[in-house]
Amino acid sequence: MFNKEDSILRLKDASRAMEICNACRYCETLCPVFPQITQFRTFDKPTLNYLSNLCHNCKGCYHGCQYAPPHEFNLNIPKTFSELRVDSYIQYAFPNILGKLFAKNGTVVSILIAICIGLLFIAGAYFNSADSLFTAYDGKGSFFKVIPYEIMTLVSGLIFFHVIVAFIIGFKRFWTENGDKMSELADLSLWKYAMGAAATLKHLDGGDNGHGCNHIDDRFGHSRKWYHHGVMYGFILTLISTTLAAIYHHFLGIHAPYDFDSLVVITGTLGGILMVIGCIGLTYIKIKADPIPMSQKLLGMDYSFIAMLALVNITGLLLLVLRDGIWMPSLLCIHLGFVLAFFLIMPYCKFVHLLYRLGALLKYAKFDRQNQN
Amino acid sequence: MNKVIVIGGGNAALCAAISAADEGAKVILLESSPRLWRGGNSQHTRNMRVYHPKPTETLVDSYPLEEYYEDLLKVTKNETNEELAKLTLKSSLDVYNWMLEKGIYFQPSLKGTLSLSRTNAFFLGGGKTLVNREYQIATDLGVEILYEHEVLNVKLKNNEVEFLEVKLPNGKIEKFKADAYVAASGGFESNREWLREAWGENSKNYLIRGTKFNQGKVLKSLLKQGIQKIGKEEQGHAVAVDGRAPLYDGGIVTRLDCVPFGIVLNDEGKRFYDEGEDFWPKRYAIWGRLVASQPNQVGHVIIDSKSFDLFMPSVFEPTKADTLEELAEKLNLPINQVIKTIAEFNSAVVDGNFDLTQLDNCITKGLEVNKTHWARRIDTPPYYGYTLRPGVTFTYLGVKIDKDARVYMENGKAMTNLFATGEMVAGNILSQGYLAGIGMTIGGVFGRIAGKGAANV
Repeated sequence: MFNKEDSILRLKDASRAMEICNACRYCETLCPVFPQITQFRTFDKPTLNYLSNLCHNCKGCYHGCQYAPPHEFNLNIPKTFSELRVDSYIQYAFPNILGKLFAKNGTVVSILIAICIGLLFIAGAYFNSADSLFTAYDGKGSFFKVIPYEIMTLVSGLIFFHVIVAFIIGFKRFWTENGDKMSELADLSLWKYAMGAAATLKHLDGGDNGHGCNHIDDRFGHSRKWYHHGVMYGFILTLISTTLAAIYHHFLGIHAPYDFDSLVVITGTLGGILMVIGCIGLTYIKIKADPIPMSQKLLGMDYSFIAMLALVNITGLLLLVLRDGIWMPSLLCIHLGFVLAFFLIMPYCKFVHLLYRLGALLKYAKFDRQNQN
Repeated sequence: MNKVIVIGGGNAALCAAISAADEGAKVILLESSPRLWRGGNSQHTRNMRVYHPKPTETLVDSYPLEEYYEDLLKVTKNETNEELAKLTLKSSLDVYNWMLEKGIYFQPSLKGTLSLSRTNAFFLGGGKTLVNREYQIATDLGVEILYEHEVLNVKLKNNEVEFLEVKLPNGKIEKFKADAYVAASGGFESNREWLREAWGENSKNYLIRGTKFNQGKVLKSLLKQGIQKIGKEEQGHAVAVDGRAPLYDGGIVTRLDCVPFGIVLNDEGKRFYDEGEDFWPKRYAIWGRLVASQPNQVGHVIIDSKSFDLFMPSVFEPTKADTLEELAEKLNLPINQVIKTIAEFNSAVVDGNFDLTQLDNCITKGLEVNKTHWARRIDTPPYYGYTLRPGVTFTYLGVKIDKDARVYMENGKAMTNLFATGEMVAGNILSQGYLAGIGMTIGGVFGRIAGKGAANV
């Protein structure tokens, strides 16, 4: 499915598609990708990797395409780009061998989650007695009675380190593939544009007149952008919550669980709720959407990612509500199991779209500036 | 409440359906194609020519009525219906504003491919995105859209439509009745049989740039029953397109812009027309006819590597060779004649200052057919060849209407409940030639008038 031979065929087909787009150009103002296409005459792998990662999958170019299937030219840019993106994730993955996890990603993610939850229960049972997993604890430090603090810190620290290394190497592979130098990233104006565009999802607004994108059918709108904002800003809030918790723990000597009115809980809860709403919305759109411009091969990856994000948060919120009862230890194991799986798979699942899309936005900012000069 | 049936599913039909629904009519739209092929030739269009006295949201500068009318007279060689033409041009701005109001998106003016952003409003994403939006608007207004419903016959009784005979998706034929009807189902350019009758055997080698659903059945049915025709059956608008384009729906990407930079040979290896007569946008339309009159209805553009990057990339790879002999062989042309033609051409070239941006002074002298601009020797390998064929855009034959989009009979009587718009009525304004984007204007203007009229008969 995502083996080398198929990937070569896909590159060839994408290059053919780009040549048709280049001779048509009706989509010129539909989104920022098409003006970029016109900058090229030939479409090699680095170029296609750049263009496909710049694509935000709004599908406007499919619905508006006079050469979309059933036309014999069979142009389906959103689908083509989605599959190219995954090929590029595999190509950039560090260590390379783990790139294989992108194939059958849905299954990989599910199995990993099951293993991680299992491990947490075993650990919980090991550090306590098995029946203590159904005991109510209260007071500060109750979570660490289930899983010792040192174990939590050590494991999360190691995983965090691995994620950072894998991201830096993956990003470098993407950035330098078309000959761009890492030193160019010192230019803060590129970051200004890219971070702004990422923060507002400007590229999902369509062209300059802000018509939005197609999500379910050929109607334009902004709902996908708003649901995505829910997930993205929810995620950022939970990161803030985690960071605050670390500060409380290490510098203020206040240990989890934190009070309901503490900043840790407020940001975490708000973030969790936002992410759950976002995930539900995105899933709804995906289920209802016209299947033709979507790659059926990627549904496993997409749904497993959304489900994992949602479950991390749902179990987290449940834990918050039930933390004083007898279900706390098992919920903690389940929640930490999801969190562990999420961070373990982070560099080898849909999460990486963030990395390469940001990279593509940086490249876009660079191209845009060159054009203006 | 009147019941209105709109026949056709392109921009003109949709403008009629939306207007009729706005007037409170119960509207059914019959589109002969399946859902994924809907929209007729509109899905291949890109813009609409709009008069405007001052800049608008997406149109720069101004395009005065007088200039628009002069442009129209130029292409039609003064043969137009002045009343209808002026009505069309004047109403073009109303249609544009109406579309904006309805939530149709136009793209911001850009340094476009044909530099038309002064005279033409570009639909965001092109004609298919426009048509999608129009279907949404129509659906939201309660218009019932029936796909794969092909109108075979419009049954007339005196100057009134009695009913329609419609072929359903299951192949059965059923009668459809309404208070009023709008015919907006295009020309007959996709009907090979009719083309052969009207244009002769050679038409089998023509490609159709647009939809395969313009079979002209409604048009034929009306003309057979005494409706006044307009335009000549033997006239069609054709341009030269890449010979490898699909038989239907090749659309914009099959155009080739390389003619002015090379020479064009026929199947006998001979040149037949001045390739550098004028800028390509002003000449591409005549090359359809030129190629159509050559043996086998083909032409072969030969350029060398000096010119390869001077035009918009084409969708099909050119035939490429390191020698002219090899190129001629690959293109299946008589090698000796090709070499001779090119040698004669090369020795007739008078050196000048090659300049794409103006009618330059690079010419040939002493040839039977001289090239009057951009003439450069074909001498730098690799050489490239593109085969051209006539690509039919639309036909001019239609039905006569008045300013209320009402259809007329040969006996001079107006139909009581039949209106028409789109390619079917374009011949009232365009007797010949073409002005980029005016087809969509005609469809929009008379679509709105027809829809309103039909809702209020």
